[in-house]
Amino acid sequence: MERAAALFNELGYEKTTTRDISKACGMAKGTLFNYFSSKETLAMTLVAEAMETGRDIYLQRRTGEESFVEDMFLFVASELRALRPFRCYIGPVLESGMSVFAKHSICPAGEKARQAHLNTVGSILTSHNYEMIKDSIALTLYWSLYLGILAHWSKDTSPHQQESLTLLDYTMKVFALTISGDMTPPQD
Amino acid sequence: MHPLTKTLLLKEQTKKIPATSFMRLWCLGNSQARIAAYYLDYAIRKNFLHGDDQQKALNQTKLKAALQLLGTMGYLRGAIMKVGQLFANLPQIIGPELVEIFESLQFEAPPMHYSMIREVFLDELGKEPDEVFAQFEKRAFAAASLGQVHRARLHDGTEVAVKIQYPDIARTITSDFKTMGMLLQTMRLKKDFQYLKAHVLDAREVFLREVDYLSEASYMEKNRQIFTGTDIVVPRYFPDLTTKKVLTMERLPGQHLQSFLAQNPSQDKRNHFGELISRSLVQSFFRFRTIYADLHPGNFLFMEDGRLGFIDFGCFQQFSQERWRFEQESEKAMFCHDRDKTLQFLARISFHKSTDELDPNWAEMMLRQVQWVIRPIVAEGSFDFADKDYVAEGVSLFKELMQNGNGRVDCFYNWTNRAILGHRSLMYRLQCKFDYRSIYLHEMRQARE
Repeated sequence: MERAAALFNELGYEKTTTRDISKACGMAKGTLFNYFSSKETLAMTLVAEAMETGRDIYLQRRTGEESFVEDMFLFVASELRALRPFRCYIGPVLESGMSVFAKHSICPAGEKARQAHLNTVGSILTSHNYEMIKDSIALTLYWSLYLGILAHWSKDTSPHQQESLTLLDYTMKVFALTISGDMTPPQD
Repeated sequence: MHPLTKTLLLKEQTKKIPATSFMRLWCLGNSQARIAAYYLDYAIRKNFLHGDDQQKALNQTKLKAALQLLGTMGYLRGAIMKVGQLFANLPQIIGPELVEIFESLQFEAPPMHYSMIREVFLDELGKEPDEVFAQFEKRAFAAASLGQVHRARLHDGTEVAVKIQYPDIARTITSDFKTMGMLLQTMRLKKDFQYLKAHVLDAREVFLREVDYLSEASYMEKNRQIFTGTDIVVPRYFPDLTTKKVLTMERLPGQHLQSFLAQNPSQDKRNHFGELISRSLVQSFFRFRTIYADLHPGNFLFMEDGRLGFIDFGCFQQFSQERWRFEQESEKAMFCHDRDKTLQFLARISFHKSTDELDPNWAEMMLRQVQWVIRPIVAEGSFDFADKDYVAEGVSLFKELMQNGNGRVDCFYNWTNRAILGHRSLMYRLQCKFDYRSIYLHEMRQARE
């Protein structure tokens, strides 16, 4: 997987073929398919591992004193930091691995990563006294917002992707207001 | 302009301002400072349109509503305020009503939460605040124009203040200046275009310096060296803990002007601090040939032991050698009440070849302003900065200048004006009386020797 990651960075994700990867690993193409059904699955597995690392880092950094917004911000920011090595090709990987159109991702690695991410969100919600309801509108909204952040971040040209940090902050505030029911339209 | 912004602005003409913070956030999340650019564009073009007063009043109301909306944009509030302040220096461009609106609205950015600060630290210093410092207060104790300030303690026990810039603020405002540049292009055939453009470029240069904390730290250090051993204290900064976006400096004990005044200090104390503030500004001006572009009470700390903390060095402009020499010659002429030479100064700062080309009304107005500015310097003995007549005359003169001034003046004239106004207003708030003349002339002589 390390070699595949190096090739994605070196040749570009689109241009790298499963043949290139198997050659770099010194194995037959068929053997590679025993582990990963496609290049997309392999790349999604790499991304999913980074997301998991990000979650671990978040758990280490969390002090328990954070407000809900801060906690969510810390979680996603830690994940984004762990995803940095994959930033240049995360767009096409997530398109195939975590399609917004599929209710459940067709890529098992993508689906697993989505579930693990949402489970952490659920834990954060619970720890701040919110109820976590699977497949609720609030979580659907969250997932859309989260994918939006990832899409923006993958193309963010600001130094250290600071623009995405600001976006992430706004987004988490919006989500917090949504789940706390503070969405009453202005009265005339 | 972004279609979303356009739609939003059209809607704003008929709809009430959204009342809940969520709605505001939702509406403005993406439009960012482009709305500001739109209104600055409007403000520029408005100067060349002929409408009746009623229409103008209506426009002003809309403008105010839009600016209030801008005030909801999270961290960008600080950015908008900064652009506003810089353009407030250029009434020739944006018009006095916009200047007044900018100055009347209080745009304070919301504080960055600690999770955000941790990310900024990791990006800037490669470590978390609690690794860098022995102790770091998670809540900011002061707001800076483009960031916030936290108390912290170094591992060796030194108490420090850590100024942290809002993420991506510099880039946002830089892009605003680009938009301004493009908007100005549309006016290129109009009167005074080249001078207006020069002002915008100059404001941009000052701003870019302010968002670079390394530049601020270096200027602060230069000042610290000249004030060492005096009653004016400039904090030292810590180079290993300072980057373009994080500035770590020694934390001085003391209070700001408002708290100082709330204690109803004696006249002697008021005079003492008025004198120290003036000394710090005049000395910095003559030694480094720089002028404060954004002088405000937050630049100073009133210390218990009678010393003055001089703490903010972000926004300044440097005179070129030639411009400095000219400034000094002109000041001398003003102090000697040499009308001809002062008129030559006015011709030069307004880019005219001779005094014959000057608009006589403008020149008369400027001469009156010069007289007002130099009064504390030519007055023998103590000057009473609390004199209501002096202040009222100054306010009326500057108002007249804003209404009748033109864009054809050099950038330093604007900065100097703003700095002088800032100084006089501080002295008035302090209600102080002291021998300003001696301080000024002493430093002037020192600089020549």
